[in-house]
Amino acid sequence: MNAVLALLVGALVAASVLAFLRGRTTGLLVGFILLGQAVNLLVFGAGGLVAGRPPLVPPGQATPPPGSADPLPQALVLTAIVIGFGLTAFLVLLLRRLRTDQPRAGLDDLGPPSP
Amino acid sequence: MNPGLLFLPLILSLASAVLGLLGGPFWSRAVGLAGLLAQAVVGLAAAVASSSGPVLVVQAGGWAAPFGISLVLDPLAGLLLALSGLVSLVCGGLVWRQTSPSEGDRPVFPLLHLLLAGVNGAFLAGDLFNLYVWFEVLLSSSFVLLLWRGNLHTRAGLLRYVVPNLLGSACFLAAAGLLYGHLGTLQLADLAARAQAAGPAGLRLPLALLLLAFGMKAAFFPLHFWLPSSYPVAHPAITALFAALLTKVGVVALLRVLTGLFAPLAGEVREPLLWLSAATMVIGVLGAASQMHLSRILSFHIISQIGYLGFGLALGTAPALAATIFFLLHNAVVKTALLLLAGTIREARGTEDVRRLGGLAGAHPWLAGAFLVSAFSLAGFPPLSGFWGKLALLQAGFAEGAYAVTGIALLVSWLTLFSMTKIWNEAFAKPDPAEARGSGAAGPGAAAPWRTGSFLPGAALAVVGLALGLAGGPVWRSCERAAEVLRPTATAASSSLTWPEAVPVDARATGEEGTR
Repeated sequence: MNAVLALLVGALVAASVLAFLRGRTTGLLVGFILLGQAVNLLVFGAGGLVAGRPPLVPPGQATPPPGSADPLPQALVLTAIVIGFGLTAFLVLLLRRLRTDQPRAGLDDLGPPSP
Repeated sequence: MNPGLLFLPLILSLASAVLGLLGGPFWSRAVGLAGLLAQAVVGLAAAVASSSGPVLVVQAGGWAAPFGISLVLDPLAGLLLALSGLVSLVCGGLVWRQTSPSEGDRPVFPLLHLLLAGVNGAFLAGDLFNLYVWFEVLLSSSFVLLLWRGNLHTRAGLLRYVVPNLLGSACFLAAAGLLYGHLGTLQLADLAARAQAAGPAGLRLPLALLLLAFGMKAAFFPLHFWLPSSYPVAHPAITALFAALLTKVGVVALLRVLTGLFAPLAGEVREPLLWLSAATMVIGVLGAASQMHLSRILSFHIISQIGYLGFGLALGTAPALAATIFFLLHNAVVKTALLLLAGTIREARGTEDVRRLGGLAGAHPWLAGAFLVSAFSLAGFPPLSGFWGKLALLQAGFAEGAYAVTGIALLVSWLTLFSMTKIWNEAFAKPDPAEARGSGAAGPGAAAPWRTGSFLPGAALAVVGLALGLAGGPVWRSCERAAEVLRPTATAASSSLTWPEAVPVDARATGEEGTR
């Protein structure tokens, strides 16, 4: 299971790099979405995958049974998803606005920055 | 002092932001400025309170460390809170001066407060994931602030700012996940203690990712390219605020993880970091030499001075860290003053191309005086604050035997002086080219009449910078203490935080459940 997850993270990162390198606004957007998912999966996997053993405390005990799943990485990923969603929404709007400013422009044609 | 007061800087910012959005334009401005004023007072109080006595720690929600999220007020955090309060008050003053109570400018003050919440949260965070969240808070508000009064060029510049920062955030998050997987905690001091016990293996990948993330935010070479093409496109008050706080947040984060968590690897990163810092200094100052616009010259100098901070960071001895902290404070104040003064010049003359400027020394002697003092301080003239910061850094460099990089730092200092002299000669000393041609309007934008109100914020910071040089003794002692508290080895750090020694892993898992 961990190997599958590792391969998936690798594939997602590779795909996002490929998307970045296209030098287009859509590629940028797709790249960030893929990269965000890859990192979320990485955090999820780094916490250790435990299937079918929820960290529930049995009646009469103080701690869940040893070897149950760690809920913290899931909480981290949840936070990261929310933040990632907000930033992606901002990026979508920014890229859309840039397209209206300069239709048909690729990322290399944005022109030199002028103060 | 009650540790619960540690929440005050954060609650103040968030409350001012929310309250500011509730009322009309007049209300928003009033709440915004009052909040910034309160924030500055709280920051100064935090600096005084933390400069002596024990490190203050508060556990959010009362969850015991390391399960809960702790906020830590050590002397470094206190100094930085004072800095952020002061600088944002001054920049907020300029924003106040430049806005009218109109609907379009209504979100500016709430956004400033959100940015400040993120910055102060990052300074206080005692937990790696919490640090990540505060970074995102300050990033997302900085995205919107950069666009304020922007045009087509601002939006293109914003993309250059957004993309590297989002990449950096992804690296940061990945590092946090890997560290949790490896060490089983996210509390910074707990991480440091466990990293000490576990040894360097398994720390290298997270360290590399964090160096990428923080180096990107701090604009270290070779991750500096986004800064000069994005900062100058913003409004002068916003550029000045970003220059003072945002890159410095990256440096401070680096300072915290390198002295604590990655102390076992500090020897390995020392040489690469030293040479990267040298490269950052040189690239920044050479970039500045090639520029002709005030804010772009100054933006390249931000990069150059990040190199000095990295230099002290890489040396890692207690005197070097104290010098780094002092230099950071000096640099934030003086660079912000210079950028605000550059904004005043742009407003008064309608351009900031030094070739088209001139005669400012005769026309506005006070402006010239404030600029001269700050520029010489940046270049490192005695007895100004930059001199003391650089002197302490160079001494630390010689003491550690890093002669080559220390020599480069001296050379870069001289080149900084060249760059400042260029501005002085072109913009202040030479006769005004517009008058020589006999036409009134020189620049593309029409020149506005001189307004003293726009000049005062920059002048106020120039005076603060001057005071930091002439009477910086107490600040320097606070920096020394901050470095002492930082430096310690993981044992000292964890004992000052009084954490439970051994916590069974299962209890850890349940304890952390409800805290995030």
